[in-house]
Amino acid sequence: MAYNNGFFKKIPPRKVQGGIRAQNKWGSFATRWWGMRWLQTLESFNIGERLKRGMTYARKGQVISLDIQPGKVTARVQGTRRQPYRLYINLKPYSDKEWNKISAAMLEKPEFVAKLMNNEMPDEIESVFRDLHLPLFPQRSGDLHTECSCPDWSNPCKHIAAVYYLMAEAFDNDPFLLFTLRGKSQADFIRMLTAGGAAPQSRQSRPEPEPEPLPEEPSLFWGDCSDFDIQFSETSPVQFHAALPKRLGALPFWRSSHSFVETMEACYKNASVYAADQLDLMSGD
Amino acid sequence: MRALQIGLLSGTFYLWCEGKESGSANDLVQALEAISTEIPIPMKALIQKFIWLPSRGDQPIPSSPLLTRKADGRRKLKLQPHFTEFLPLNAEELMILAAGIKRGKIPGSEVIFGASLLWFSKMMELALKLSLEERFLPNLIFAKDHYEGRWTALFKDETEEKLAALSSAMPHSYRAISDSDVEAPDISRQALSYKTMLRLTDAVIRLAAPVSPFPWKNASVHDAWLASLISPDATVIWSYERDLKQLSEQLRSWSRPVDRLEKSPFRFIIRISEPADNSENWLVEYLVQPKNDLSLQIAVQELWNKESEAAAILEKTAPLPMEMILTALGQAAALCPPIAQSLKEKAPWGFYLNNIGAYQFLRDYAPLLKSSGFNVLLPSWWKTGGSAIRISAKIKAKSPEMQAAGTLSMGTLVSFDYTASLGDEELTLKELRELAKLKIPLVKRRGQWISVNPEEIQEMLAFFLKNQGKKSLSAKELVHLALGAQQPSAAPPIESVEADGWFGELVDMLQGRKNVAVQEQPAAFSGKLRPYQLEGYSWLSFLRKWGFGACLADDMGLGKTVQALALIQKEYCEGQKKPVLLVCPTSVVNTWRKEAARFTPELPIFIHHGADRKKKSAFIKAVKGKALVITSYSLLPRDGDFFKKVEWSGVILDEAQNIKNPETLQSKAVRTLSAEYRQALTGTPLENQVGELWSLMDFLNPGLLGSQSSFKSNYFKPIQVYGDRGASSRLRHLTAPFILRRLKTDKNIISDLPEKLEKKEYCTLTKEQTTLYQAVIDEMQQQVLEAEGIARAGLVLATLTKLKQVCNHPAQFVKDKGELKGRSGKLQRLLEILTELYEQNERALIFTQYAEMGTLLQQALQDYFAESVFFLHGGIPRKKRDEMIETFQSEEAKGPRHFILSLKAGGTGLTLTNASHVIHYDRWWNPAVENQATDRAYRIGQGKRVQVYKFMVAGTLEERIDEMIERKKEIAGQIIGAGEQWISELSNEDFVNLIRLGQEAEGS
Repeated sequence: MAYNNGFFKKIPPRKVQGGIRAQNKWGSFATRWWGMRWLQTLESFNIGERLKRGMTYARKGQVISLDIQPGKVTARVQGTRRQPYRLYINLKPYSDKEWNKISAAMLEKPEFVAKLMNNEMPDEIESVFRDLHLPLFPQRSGDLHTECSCPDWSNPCKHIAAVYYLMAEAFDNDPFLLFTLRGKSQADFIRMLTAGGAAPQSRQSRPEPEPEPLPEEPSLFWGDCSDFDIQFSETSPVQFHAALPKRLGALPFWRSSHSFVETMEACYKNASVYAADQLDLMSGD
Repeated sequence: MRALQIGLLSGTFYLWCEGKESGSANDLVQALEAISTEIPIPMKALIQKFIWLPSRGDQPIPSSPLLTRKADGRRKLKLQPHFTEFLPLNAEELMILAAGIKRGKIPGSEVIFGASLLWFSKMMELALKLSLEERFLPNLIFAKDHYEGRWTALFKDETEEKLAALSSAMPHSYRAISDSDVEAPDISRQALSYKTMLRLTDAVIRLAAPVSPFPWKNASVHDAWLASLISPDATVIWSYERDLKQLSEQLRSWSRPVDRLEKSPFRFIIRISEPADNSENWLVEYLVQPKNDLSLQIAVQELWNKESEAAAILEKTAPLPMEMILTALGQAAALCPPIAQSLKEKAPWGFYLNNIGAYQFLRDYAPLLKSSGFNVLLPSWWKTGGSAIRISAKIKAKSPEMQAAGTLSMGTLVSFDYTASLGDEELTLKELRELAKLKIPLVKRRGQWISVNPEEIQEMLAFFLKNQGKKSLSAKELVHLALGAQQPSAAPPIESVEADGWFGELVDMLQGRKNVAVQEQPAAFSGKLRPYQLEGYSWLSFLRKWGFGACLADDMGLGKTVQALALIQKEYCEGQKKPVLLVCPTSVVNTWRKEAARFTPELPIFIHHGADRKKKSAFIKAVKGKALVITSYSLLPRDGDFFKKVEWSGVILDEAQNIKNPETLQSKAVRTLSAEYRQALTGTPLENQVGELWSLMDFLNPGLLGSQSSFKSNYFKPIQVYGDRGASSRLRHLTAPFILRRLKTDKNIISDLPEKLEKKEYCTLTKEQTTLYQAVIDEMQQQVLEAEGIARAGLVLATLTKLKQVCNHPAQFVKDKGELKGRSGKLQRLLEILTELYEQNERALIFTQYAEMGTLLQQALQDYFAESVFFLHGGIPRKKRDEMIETFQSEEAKGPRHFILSLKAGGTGLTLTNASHVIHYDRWWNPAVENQATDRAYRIGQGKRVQVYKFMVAGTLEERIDEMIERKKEIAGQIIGAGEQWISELSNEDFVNLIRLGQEAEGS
C-alpha cells in the first residue's frame, strides 16, 4: 500500500543474504548497447518513475533468484513480508518457423554469424530482426506481461522493476539471453545456423580414462629410460605476445581496474622469456 | 649408490630416494647434497606417505642392479606399500631439479637419477616448450572446496603426439605414491600425465609471472582472479560464490572459439599467392584441409554451395565445417582488417590485394595471424622476419705488393672498393638509386618477385654515397670479413670479399676452395709420417705462416702429437731461436717426452714439472735455446708470472678442451702468454659444442667470433635455443678454415692406418703410491742383493709383484677397503680416457692380469659412471659368460660400455668386436698373450681400426722393462722368453737400476 500520507510507516524490506547484487555501483546500470537498449526500451514505455524504485532494490541485492527461459523470466524478490514475492515476466517467444526465417536471414550476413560464433553480438543485428518484422526487443508495454505476488498494485511494482534492472546487467554479461528470452538458446541458434551441422563443441574436459592398476613385474614397473628419449622440434620465438587471449577478445563486463589485455600480455611475455632462458640453461651453457 | 625418484599425488610433486635404508630421510638428504642443488633440505619439511613397489616380503625390488640390496628370491613377488619420507617440491625447486637432471649425472657423486626423474625432466621440457610457444589460457576451476585460478595448457598436433608418447612411457613408480597402505593407487598414466602437464605449465607461468607494482586490492572477482593467476597460491580470495560460478561459466564460453578450431577435424588455412600475370592482383584465399588427408586443400568458395563436388569430397571425412570456418574468420577478422571487410560478402572466399597491401599482409598480418595460431601459407620466396633479399655490400680487394722473404703479416693494409649487391646480383650505383626511389617493398626483378626492405636500400644508398672511392683495412680484418665475421655496428653486412693475387689465393685456401700444398716432412724428423699426417703438418705450417691460430681435431690415435712435433722440428731447422711452449694434462707429460725423444730426438727439450722445478729467472735461463718446453695445465696458473715473461715462438695446447671454460684459471693464464702463433690439439668433436667453441677460438684467433656476449646473442642462443640453421651455418663457415678433423673411419685415411693403433701411456704415481713404492724398495732390495740362487729368484719375483701392485693401485697392494678415487695415477688416466670415449659413445675392453685389480676397477668405474660394468674372470660360469658377451655385442648397444677382463680369461676365443678401444692396465710382458687379448676386439679385414693403450708408470720398473724388451727385440729380432724369468737373471746392479724410482714418476 503506497499511501504517502504518513499513516503508514515506510518499512524497509527484509535483508537478504547472498542475493543477486547489482554490480554497478556507479553510473548507469548497463554499459553495453544491448543492456542499454533494454533499459531504453523500457523507459520508452513511460514507466520511468516506477522503474527508478526498483533500482534501490536491485542495488541492495533483494532479488534472490532470477531465471531466464524461452519466453519467460521467473524471479523471487525479498520485500517487507517474510515470504519472498514470486514474479513472472512474459514476452512472446518466436516459433520455430519464425526462427527459421531469422536464421536464414542471418546466414545472408556471414559477418554477423562470424561474430556470433565468437560470443560477440554484432552492433547491427537488430536490423535483421526488424526487417523480418520480428523485433528482438519488446515494442510496446503491452508486449510484456508481468505478474507479481506482492500487494503493490502499480505496474511495474518495485520488485519487477528491480528484476528489469538485473536483466539489463544479465544481458550485458550474456547478450544471447535476449535470444533465449525470444525462444532459442545460443547453442540452439548456432546449431540452426550451421543447418544441423556438427553441434558447437563445448570445451570437453578430457574423458576420464579408466583406472590402470600398477604392474607387479619389476622391469615393467621401473621402466626403461630409452622409451621416452623423445626429441622436440625447434621452436621459433613468439613475435606477438598473448595472441590467444587477444584473439578471444575481452571478457564480458570486466570490473577490475587492471586491464585484462595488459595483464595477459605481461604474463605471456614473461612466461615465454622465462621458458626460453630455462631451456637455454637446460641445454647446457 | 642411491637413486632419486619422483612422483605426483593430489597435485603435489614428491621427491624420494632409494638407497641404503630405502625410503629414509637420511638417504634423501645425502643424495640431494651429493648432487649439490640449491634445493634446501630442512628435515621438518619431509612428509610421510606410502609408495607401492613390487617387493619380496617387505623388501622392495630396487630399480637398478647398481643399488645393492638383493631381495630374498624365495618370497613371493607382490606389490607392497612402503612407508617412505618424501620431500614435497614447490615450483622453483622443480625447475632447479629439472635443470640439474638435464645436465646429466655427475660422475663420482654415487647418485643416479631414477627413470621417473628422467621422465619428469622430459615433461618439464615439454611444459617449457608450451610456455615458450604461449600455448595456454587462463582459467578458473573448482578444486575440492574452493576456486583456483589456473593456467591450462593447450595441445595441438606435435605437442599432442609427444604428450601421448610420453604418457605411455611413464615409469610406474611415478604414480605409485599413496596415502593408503590398504589399496594400491590405480590412476591411469594418461590421466596423470595430463595432470602433470597442467601442473608444470601452471608452475612455469606462475614462476615467471610479473609482480604487481602496487598493492593489489581485491575490489572485484576479477581482481581476485587475476591475483590468483600470478601469486604462488592459486586460491581465489573472493567470498561471493555466485560471482565465481558466473566467471567460471563465462571463461568456458570465452575460450570456446579456440576449442572449436582445435577440435575440428579440419584445418583452416589462409593462403596468399602472387599475381599470375603482370597485374598487381595478389590473391588471398580461404582454404580448408582435412587433418587426416594433408593432400587436399579445398577453397572455402566452393563450400558455400552444398551441392558442389568439393563439398561432397569433404563430407566423406566429416560434416562441412562452416561453423568452424566462420569462427576462424570471426577471430581472424579482429586481427586483419581486409579479412573483416571480406566478411561483408554473402559467401566470403578471400580478397585481392595490391602490391602495397600484399607487403603489409606479408610483413604485418601474416606473422600476427600465425602467432595467434592460424595456418598461413606464404609464397616460397618470402622469408619470415622481413625482407628476403638482403642488400649488402661486396668488397673487392687488391692484394698489396709482396715484400721479399715472405715478410707478410696480417697487419698489412689492403685496399678495396665496395660494391652493392642485391642477393647475388651486383648493382651499379645508378640501379641502386632507382631501387631506392621506388620505395615499394615488393619488386619484380627478372620475372621473379622478391621482397626488399626499402629502409635498408635507403641506408645502403647513403652508405655508398658516403664511401665512394678506395678504402683499406688490415689483411687480418679482411680475412675475418671474408669468412663471415660480423662487422661492428653501423656498417652494412658484407656479402663477400673478392680479391686477386696472393690475398685472393689465401682466402681461397682458407675457405677450402684451393688446397694447401703438401710439404715433405722435415729432414731431421725420425720416422715416417703417413700421407694424411703430411697433409695435417702442411696445413699447420700454412696457418702458422699467415699467423692464424689452428686447431687440429683429429680423432684419437691418428697422431696429432707427431704432426705438431714435425712443425716444431721444421722451424727449429730453419733457425727458429725462440722455444715453443706445449701445455698438456699432467698425465701425458711423460708421453710427450717419450714421443719427442722418439720422433724428434735432436730437439732440445725442457720439462717443467715436479716439486723441485725451476722458477723465475732460473726458469727463463733454462729455457733459452730450447726448442720445446713442456708443462702442465695445473702448473701454468701457478707459474704464469714468469711464463709470460718469455717470448715464445708458439703456444700449443694439448687436450685443449681443458680451456673450454673461459673463466678457469688455466684458461685465463693461457691468454697471458705472448707467442707468434697458437695451436690447439683436441680429440673431441667441436661441432656439437657451440658454447665451448668460443673459448677455443678466442684463444686461437682473438676477435674472430667477437666478444663473449655478442657470440651468445649472434650464435649461441640462436643455435642452441632456437635451432637457427642460418646461424649454425654461418658459424661453421667462420671457423672451418681453422679446424682440421679427420676420423679413423675416413675412407682416404683408413687404408693408411695400421689395423691396430698402439699407444703407450706413461702414467704417474700419487704421493701415496710413491711412498709405498719406495717402502717396497727399502724392504726388499737389500734382501735380494744378499740372496742367491733359487731363493734370490723367488725374492726378485716377489719384489716385482709388489711393485706392480703399487703401480696399479694402493688398494691392490695394501688390501684396504678404503676409497678408490684419487689414489692411483693409472686409474686417473684410465678415467680420463674413458670419459672422452663416453662422450663419443664408444666401447672399451680393459685387461688386467690381476683378478683383485679387476674387481677394484669394476667398483671404481661403476661408481664413477653410475653404470654397470662387466668383469669377466676365470671364476665366471660359462652360461653367465656367454650372456655377458651377448649383451655387450648386441646391436642396440644398450649394454655396458666397459668390459673388464682378466688377461687369462680374455684369451680364449671370445668375440668382443663391439669395442673400439683396448686398454692394458698392466703388462704381462708377453707380446703373444697381449696381442691375443687385443684381438678380441679386432677381426682382420673388418675395416675397423682398434685403438690400443698400454699403461706404464714412467720412472719405474714398468717403463724400464718395456724399454729393455724393445731394445732387445730390435737387436736380436726375437722375443725374450715368456714371463719375467729373465729378470731374475739380471745382475745386482742392473736389478737396482731396474726398480729404482725415477723423478718422472711424480705426479704434479
